[in-house]
Amino acid sequence: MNTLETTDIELGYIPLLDCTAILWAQHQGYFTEQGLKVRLVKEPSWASLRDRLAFGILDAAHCLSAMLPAAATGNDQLGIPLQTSLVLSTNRAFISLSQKLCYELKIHTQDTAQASAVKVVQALKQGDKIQLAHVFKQSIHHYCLREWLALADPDLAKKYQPSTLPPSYMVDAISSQLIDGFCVGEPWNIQSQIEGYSYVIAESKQIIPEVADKVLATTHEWANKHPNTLNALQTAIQKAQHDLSTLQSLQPIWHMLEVSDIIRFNCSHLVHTYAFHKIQNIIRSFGTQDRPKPDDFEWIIQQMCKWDNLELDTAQIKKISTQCTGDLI
Amino acid sequence: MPKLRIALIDDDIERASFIKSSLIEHDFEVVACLMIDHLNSTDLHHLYADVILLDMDHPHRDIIESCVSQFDLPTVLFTKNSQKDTIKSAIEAGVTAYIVDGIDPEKLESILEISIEQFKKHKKLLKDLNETKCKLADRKDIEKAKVMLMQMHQIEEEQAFSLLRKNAMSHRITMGEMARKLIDAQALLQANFKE
Repeated sequence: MNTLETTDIELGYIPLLDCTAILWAQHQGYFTEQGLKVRLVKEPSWASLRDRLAFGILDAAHCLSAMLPAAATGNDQLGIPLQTSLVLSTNRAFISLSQKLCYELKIHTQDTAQASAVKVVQALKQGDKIQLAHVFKQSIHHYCLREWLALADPDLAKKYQPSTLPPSYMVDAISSQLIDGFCVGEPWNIQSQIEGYSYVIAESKQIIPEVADKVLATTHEWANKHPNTLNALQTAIQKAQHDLSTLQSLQPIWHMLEVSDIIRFNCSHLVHTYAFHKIQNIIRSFGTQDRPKPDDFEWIIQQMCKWDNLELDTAQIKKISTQCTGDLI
Repeated sequence: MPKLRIALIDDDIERASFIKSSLIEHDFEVVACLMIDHLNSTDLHHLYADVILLDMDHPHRDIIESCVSQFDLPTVLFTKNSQKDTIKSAIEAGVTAYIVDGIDPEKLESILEISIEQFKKHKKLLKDLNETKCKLADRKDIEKAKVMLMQMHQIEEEQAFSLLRKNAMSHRITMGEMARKLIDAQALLQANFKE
């Protein structure tokens, strides 16, 4: 076995469904098996996680995939390059709209993504105030929301000003009519629907390609200095991912997610059967993730150019995408 | 030259008031001290602040960051204009800032230094308070465990104390922790006995 360059790891995460593999690896002692002492650090916001990772307070972190190209282009205002060689989740977000909005605009859950977008855009053009939220400026959720609006009107999609809200506040915000809809991962769409505030009206898969959503990231510098440690860290998480796809029962994992305050509502397989199986399938999907692909980052950078007026040529986009996956040109 | 206008966003009112008075002493203008949550996010636009100082671990930092990025004036994260050392100590202290691009870097450094200092002081205060609380609890538990040992072994106070200390040392734990173990064990034994 190769010598570990360091054994003490501070690993940052945001409590969401797609950090399950990281939590499970810790729970099962898979990091310890690799000779690592991992301390999991729950971060209160993506911005604080980004700052701590970039400036070396955290060694590695559960990151939004779009944070990597944002760092590479300096669009995150830090410009400290990050990289990943492990995907934690792939495009599995949903768009939810409040019951009131669905009723008023006659939006049905069976509507195609384009049909619902047309109804919302028409209302916006008539001067209705419809506030939609996503989780962070540099996220596939942000791009998904804009691409959805663009199915009806690309110009309006570009001008529209969505708000940002941490995922765990979405339900609260829609229940108090602060927002009318959101694009976020699970379990927030399900929770909001079960509690009666909103309907899931579109799936991100119908709108944007199958790109990485969350990844395990480190700075370039850290990865170069600690190749064996990084490898050990990934091996432990991959072992946890394997469990997610193969374990007969997800009951202990479900319990862990409830204790960690990620699943915050009663979701029983006897009552909320569809929701229960939907979440189970999502957890299973974390177990079968491919290696990060430069193509994913290319798409993300193109989105940044499209919506945030970033100007890059094809060669630059290719170069940055490759850097994000830790490969040298 | 007009004073720099600073807005503070912090849910810890005590800490915010320390920073405020310290900044005013150094001749800066503090235009607002805000507590923000997602339901009442005040329109930061109307503050016309040059510097927005905030707790890095504010649960609504992503909301604040997105509001700030929509300002008419070009606003940047302080890390763009600062020395690496300052950035690191600010992050360690848990303070961050959004600033209007182009403000005098020297002035920015001194604003950051003041708030880093206050954040550190505040952290130490909390730590000291916690320690004092622990010490008081320790003293009470040690006293209780000592009496238990005196009664159990029919020994003097001093002997009971050294017995407790010796055991704490051999288990590499504090005397307070050792005392609590003993108290817990006794409670367990008594419960069994009653049944």
